[in-house]
Amino acid sequence: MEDRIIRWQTEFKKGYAKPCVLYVLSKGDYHAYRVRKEVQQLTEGQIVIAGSNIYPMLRGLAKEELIERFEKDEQKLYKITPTGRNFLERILVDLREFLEVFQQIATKER
Amino acid sequence: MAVEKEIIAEAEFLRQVNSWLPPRASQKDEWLQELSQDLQAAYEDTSARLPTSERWQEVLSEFGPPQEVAKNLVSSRTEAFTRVSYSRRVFAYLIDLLITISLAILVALPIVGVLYFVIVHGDVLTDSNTLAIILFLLVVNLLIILVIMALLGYFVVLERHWGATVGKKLLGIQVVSETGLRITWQQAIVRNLSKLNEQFLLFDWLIGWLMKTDRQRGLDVAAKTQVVYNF
Repeated sequence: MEDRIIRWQTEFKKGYAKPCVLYVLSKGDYHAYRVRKEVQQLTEGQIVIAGSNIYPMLRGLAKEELIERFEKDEQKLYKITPTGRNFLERILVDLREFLEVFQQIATKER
Repeated sequence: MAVEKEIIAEAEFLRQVNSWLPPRASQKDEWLQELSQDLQAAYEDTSARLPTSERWQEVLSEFGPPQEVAKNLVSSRTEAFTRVSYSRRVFAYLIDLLITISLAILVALPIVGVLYFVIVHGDVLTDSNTLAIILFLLVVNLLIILVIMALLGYFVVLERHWGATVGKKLLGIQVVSETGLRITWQQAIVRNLSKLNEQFLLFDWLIGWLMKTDRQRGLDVAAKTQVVYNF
């Protein structure tokens, strides 16, 4: 039972990881490890990107041209692109609508 | 003192990650640099929470095993999973065939020369000397084994070591695991067993084709390997 709960949680949390990464990068330019930490802090530990999974996630976002990798003082950093910013705005609106519905369902069941 | 130990531990971790990355991956150094930077950041991060002796252990457990890390580094490269057409691979094989045949001749020629000398000038076979005949047969068999080893060794060693044979290198393709990682010795041996002769290879290809694989030979499936474009 407990195992399955954890698996379900991981499954539904996974969808929020990408918007969170994008959100974090909309607040500042960070290196990969810092992005991970910021997401963890932002979500109060609800979303923890495990191990080196941050790399495919960042590359995926870069491939979609939502973020960009650059070098500064020999540091490899990531920043959000203008497209990424617009994208995030739209996604946050959708998320809000989506979460409102779920909040209603969850509170009804309490 | 402690710092020195950490530097060695980090280098060792990076070395292990590197050993899993395909040898021909062009962005390898860049990936490892970024990883090194993040490892150091993670290490800094633990300073407030943990005593020095436990910090590195924590960082390693946070990043996961080297093989997983390597997998995550290559996973976003679609080229690592875009398989090369059979026809391109045949061209690569023809080049390799030319090289291996030359190689086999080069290995065999001196031995054949010695044998010829022994047979013609030593009257070995006409003598009723059993020991000499046994020795002669032994040498012939050894020669055959040597040639086969040279043929297979060429493919196995180069694919494991460089990720490609000379033919593959010239055609801009490489062998990687189905996970996108570097192939192991075992994988290199299994996938090349059918290169012993052309009929085996044709049969191997036919099996792959009948299995409706995505451009894999039967032994590619068995070894969990694939031939992809350079990336």
